[in-house]
Formats: sequence, C-alpha cells, structure tokens
Amino acid sequence: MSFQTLWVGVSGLTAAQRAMEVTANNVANVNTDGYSRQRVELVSGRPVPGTDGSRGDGMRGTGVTVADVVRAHSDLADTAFRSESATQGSWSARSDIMSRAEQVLGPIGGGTPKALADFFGSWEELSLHPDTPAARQAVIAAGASLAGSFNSAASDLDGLKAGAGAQIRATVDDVNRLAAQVAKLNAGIADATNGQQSPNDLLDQRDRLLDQLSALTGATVRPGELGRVDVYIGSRTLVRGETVETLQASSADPATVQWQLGGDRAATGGKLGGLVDSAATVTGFRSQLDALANAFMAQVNTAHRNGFDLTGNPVPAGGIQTGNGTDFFTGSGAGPMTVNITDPKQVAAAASATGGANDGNNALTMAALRSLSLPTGVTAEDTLGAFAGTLGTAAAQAKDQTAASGEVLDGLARDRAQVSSVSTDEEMADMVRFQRAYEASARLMTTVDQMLDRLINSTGMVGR
Amino acid sequence: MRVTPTTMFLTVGNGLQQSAGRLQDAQERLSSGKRINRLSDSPTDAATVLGLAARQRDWDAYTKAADDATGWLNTQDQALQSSSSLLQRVRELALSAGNATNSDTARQAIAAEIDSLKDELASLANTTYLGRSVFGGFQSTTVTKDGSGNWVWSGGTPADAVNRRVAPEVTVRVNMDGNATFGFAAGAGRDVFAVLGRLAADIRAGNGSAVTGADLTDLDARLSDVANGLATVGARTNQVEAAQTIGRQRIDTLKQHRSSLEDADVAQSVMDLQLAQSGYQAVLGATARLTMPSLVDWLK
Repeated sequence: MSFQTLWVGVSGLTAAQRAMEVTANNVANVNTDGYSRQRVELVSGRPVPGTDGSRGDGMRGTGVTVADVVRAHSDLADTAFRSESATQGSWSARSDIMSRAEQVLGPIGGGTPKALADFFGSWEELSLHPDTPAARQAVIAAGASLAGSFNSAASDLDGLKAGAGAQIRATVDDVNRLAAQVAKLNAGIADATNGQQSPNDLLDQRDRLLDQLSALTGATVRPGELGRVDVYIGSRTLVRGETVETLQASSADPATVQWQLGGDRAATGGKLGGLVDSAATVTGFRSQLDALANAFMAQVNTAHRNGFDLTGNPVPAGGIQTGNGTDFFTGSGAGPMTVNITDPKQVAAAASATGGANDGNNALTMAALRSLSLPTGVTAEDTLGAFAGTLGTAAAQAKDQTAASGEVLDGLARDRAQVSSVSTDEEMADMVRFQRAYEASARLMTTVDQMLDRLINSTGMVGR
Repeated sequence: MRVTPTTMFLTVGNGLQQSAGRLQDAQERLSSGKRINRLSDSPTDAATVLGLAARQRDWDAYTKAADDATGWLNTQDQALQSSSSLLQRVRELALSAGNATNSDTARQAIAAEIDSLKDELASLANTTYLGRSVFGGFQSTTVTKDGSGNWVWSGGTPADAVNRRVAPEVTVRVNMDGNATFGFAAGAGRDVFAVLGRLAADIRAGNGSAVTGADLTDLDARLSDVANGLATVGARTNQVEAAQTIGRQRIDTLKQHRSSLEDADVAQSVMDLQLAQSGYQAVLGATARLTMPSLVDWLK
C-alpha cells in the first residue's frame, strides 16, 4: 500500500463524475431531435511493475481512465433511412401537385365533362325547337360555359407548373445553404478528429443536415478523411470535404435543376426530383388538354360550317367571318378557347338554305358529334374521360407511393431511434451504477486515509 | 431490441396519424354517400363513371327526342284518321248523289256539304304541333286558299324533313310530306282538294256518270294516299316506341352500373366508420398510457 492507492481512488472518482456528466447530458437530450446517446468508454490504467521486480510482487493496476466518449450510432441505419427519405420526399412533392392537378376538371359529376355533355345536349334541344330563340341562346351559353371550363383547367395547370417552379427555386436555396453548413461542420469535425477527440455533437448536427439534404435532393453520403463526408448528387459532388458546389434552378420551361458551374443538369432525386418531374408531368397534361381542345374545336367548327344560319346564309368555309356566318369556337388551345358567335341568329341549326327557323337538321348533326370520333380515334367525351383517368392515375400513384414509403420511413426511423435514442430507464440505471462507484471510490479514499493516519500518527508511539 | 421513449412515441405517433386518416376517409365516404370522391380514389372506376354518365345523358336526350317525336306522330295520326273518315263520308255522299233518284235540291245540299268538308280537310292539312306544320315541311302552312277560292299547296319541298334521333343510330322523320298525302304529287288537278271541288261541281251539274266514274276513282286514289300516310305514321310510331323502351332500359342499366361503381354501400360505410372510430380510440388510449411508470419512480 502506498500513496499510489489514493490516486487510484481519485481516478475512480473522476471516471464516475465524467460518466455522470454523460448520463446527465443524455437525460437532458432525451427529446432532442437527431441526438445520439453517448456513453463513456472506460479503460483500466497502465499497470506498473512491482517495486523489487520480483514476480511475487506482481504488476499493479493504476486505476481507471476515460478513453473516449462515443455515440451510439449506426451508419447502416442512416443510409437506409436517407435513401428512403429521398423516395418519400420525391413522392410527397409529386402527391402535393398531382392531388391538385386531378381537380382541374372540376368535381366528379360536374366540371368539364358535364359542360361538354351539356354542350351536346343544348344542340339536341335546339334540334327539337330550332324556331325558339331561347334554344339558340342556350347553345351559345353552353359553348361559353364549356370554353370557360377548358380555360380554367388550363390556367389551373399553368398555376401548378408555376408553383412547382417557385418551390424548386426555394428548395434549391435550402439545399445550397445546407451544403454550406455541412462543409463548415466537416472542417470542425476534421479539426477535432485531428486532436484525437470525438466530436459527437458536431456529428449529430451534421447527420441531421445530411438527413435533410437526402430528403431534398436524394443525395448520397460517402465517408472522407478525418471524419469528413462527401455528398454526391448523382455522380457529382455537392460537398467534397470542405468545398461546396452550387445548384441553381434553370430558366427552362418546365423548370429543372442544374449545376451553377457548367450548367449541366443535376440528377436530383428527393423533393427536388419530385418537383422537376411534376412540372414536366403537368406540362404534359397541359399539352394533352390543348390537343383535346383543338381537335374538338376543329370538329365542331367543321360541322358548324356545313350548316346554315337563321337567315339561310351558309357559314363560310375557312372560318372567316363575313357578316352572317362564322366558326363556332375560336382560339388555339384550351387557354384561349372562346365562343366566336354572339348573335343567336348565327347559330347554324339548319341544313338547308331554305329551311329557315323550322329546319333543325344541322343541330341534329352537331349533337351527333358526341358519338363521332376525334382524330384520337375516340369521341371527345371519351378522350376527356381518358384524360381524367390519366390525372386520377397520376394522383393515385403519387398518393399510394407516398403512403407506402411513409410507412417504410417510419419503420426505418424507429430502427434508427432504437440504436441512438436515449432510454431514461437505462440512464437511471447508469446513474445508480456510477453513483455507487463514486461512493465506493470515496469510501476507498477514506479507508486509505485512515490507514495512513494509523501509520503516521500511531506508529512508533509505544509507551507514549 | 431497445425500447425507448422516442421509439414509443414514433410508433404511437404514426398509429395516431394513420387511424385518424382512416377515420377521415370513412367520414368522407359516409357524408358524401360516394365511394369515389375524387379521380384518384379509383382512377379506372372514375373514368368508367364519367363514360357512363356521358352515355346516360345521351340516352336522356334520345328519350326526350323520342317523347317529342311521339307528339309529332300522334298529331299526324289524329289528323290522318280524321281525314280518312272525312273522305269516307265524301265517298258515301258521292255514291248517294250518283243515284239518279235524287232531286236537284238534294244534290245541291250534298254538293254544299262536300264543299264544307273540303274546307275542314284543309284545316286538317294545316294541322300544327307546337306551332309547326306537320304536313307542310319547313313552311308554316300546308295549303292556302287562292283568289278563286281553291286550296293550293303552300308547304315546303318533299325534302323538308324534321328528324328526331331516338337512339344512337336511329333517326326518325317525324313530319309527313303533305305533297304525297294530299295528292299534290299525283299531278296537276288531281290533289284531294281539286278532286273534291270537281266532285261537288259534277254533283251540282247532275253529271252522275262522272261522279261515280272518274271522280270516284280519283277519290279512292286519295283515300289510299291517306291510308299510306297512316301506315307510315304507324311504322314510325312503332320505331319510336321501340327506341323509347330500349332507352328506358338502357338508362336503368347505366344508372345501376354507375351507382354500383360510384355510390358508397351505406351499411359498409357505417361499419367502416365505426371500425375506424374504435381504432382511433384504441390508439388514443395507448397514447394516454404511454407515460407509464419508469425507473425514475422507483429511485426515491
């Protein structure tokens, strides 16, 4: 026994105190987002050989030291979580936009399909009563309401595309900011690692940023030197060590994301990828709608030109307005589509020049257009129905995939939390454990003190 | 497997979200009464529903046109039935006038009756349905009286067809070409009004052989024209009625099909709602019990 024993006791006290600090930190961060629980790694002190070098004296331990404070963390769980959160980010961005796109035709049982059916219905009604001015007016009104319905669908789709573009720009700003922060943290972590430290809290912070980056861009993370990480989008690095590349939204229509340097298109996944895809899909919807509107207008105008208006004038070919007759619809595409006639007399209900007010045969032909195929091979109503089906399928797919990847992501989040999250029960147990260890070390020092007291104050006092 | 407050909250939080979502869906289905509330609820069924709704509106229009056609055809049927019996009466008068025993006074009376029947026939020829002439093509009258008191053709051309589409591929002409029905097509002076005029004149003049000879032959020819008209109306009415029957069946079928795709099964929806509610309450209960005793409570 020597003074050395006292130092062993001190090392026990220090270790218990450090362990208690870590436990306290864990308990304090029990609900902190992204916090990984930490624990102390204790190692026994370097043993010293006996004083006289003989075997019998033995090597003696020198107490305990704190080797490191490590965080409980699984890179595998991180990788799985980030990859799925990119999928989830992509689908939920799509779902947001597609769930609005599916409403552009109005409610089921109303909206554009009903306006189209009402348009044909108004011609059917006119064929029954071609002598009634109200029936002629009704045809113009039904045409105007159909054109209005196409107009609003077109402007809604344009609005969605513009909205996606705005979201892309905002998200690109977020990504650039996050990437800069990751690079900065990379520097801090490299410094700490160089100094043989475990920068646990910096690592946690960076992991949280990397989670966000993956969800926004589908970025993948590869470990670099000295604890740094490189962040890849596609095969190009967004962050390499402590340097950052910048993304920007392109001015193309529909909007895409490109690298500022060189202007190559960035292969983004995640929310950005979903937004870029959605903008392209919505553009596709818009041109489908335009094609339908154009084919339909051509069909209606051709049939209308074959008729005669109330005063018996033929509606001139080529749709050039010359006094009495004209195209029924005008404008190119779903956006500018409008009804061309304002005077009910110009509605070409008659199929003969002499028929006058009582001839409703061209109105009958107009009504029959409903069962006449467009150049698409099916009727206007069926083409519109198929378009509605396309909208619905896109929305349903995005919704289902969002829900499915959401559930997978929840499971992966739990997997990760299972490794990293703080259990208060465990921490309480540790608290008791280290409290007892501290008490025991303190007790040891008291005992050593008493022994030394005996040695110093009570030895050689025979007969005193 | 480690269980920590975080993993418990993650589990319960997701459960809460999901069962609240199911509750909302069930409530929407029940309150709207529809299984498909937006296209994405079932894209293929929604597209089918749109198609069925379009077909249903088509057939609604066809049956409406068929109802209108029935009005036109019934009007003609009545007018032609009356014309037919009117001409029969003229024929009887002609036969009795041809009898040599008639006094001059009696013949004058018969001729006067035929003249008035002629005017009555003219008003039958000018029959309208909803203000539109049924025999006169696109013109407003079929016959008008000229300066010398004769009824002359004032209708349109035989091609003036009023058509009604009563089924997708079935278009029925619902007006009658008065040219044929009233003998104007048979040649100058052989139309029914000219025949009646000549008959009255011959009776007045006591020209018995003409009355029972050429006049009666012409009259019979006009009678058969009217009978032909009646047959045509009958055939068209049958066509329209057949289309109406098919139309009503089709509308019923389309409605049923549409409803089976579109409408929520109420009993099923109520069950779904109750299931979703009890599921939601169960998750709420689980959340409330989440703050169970921990080791902290025992370390006093």
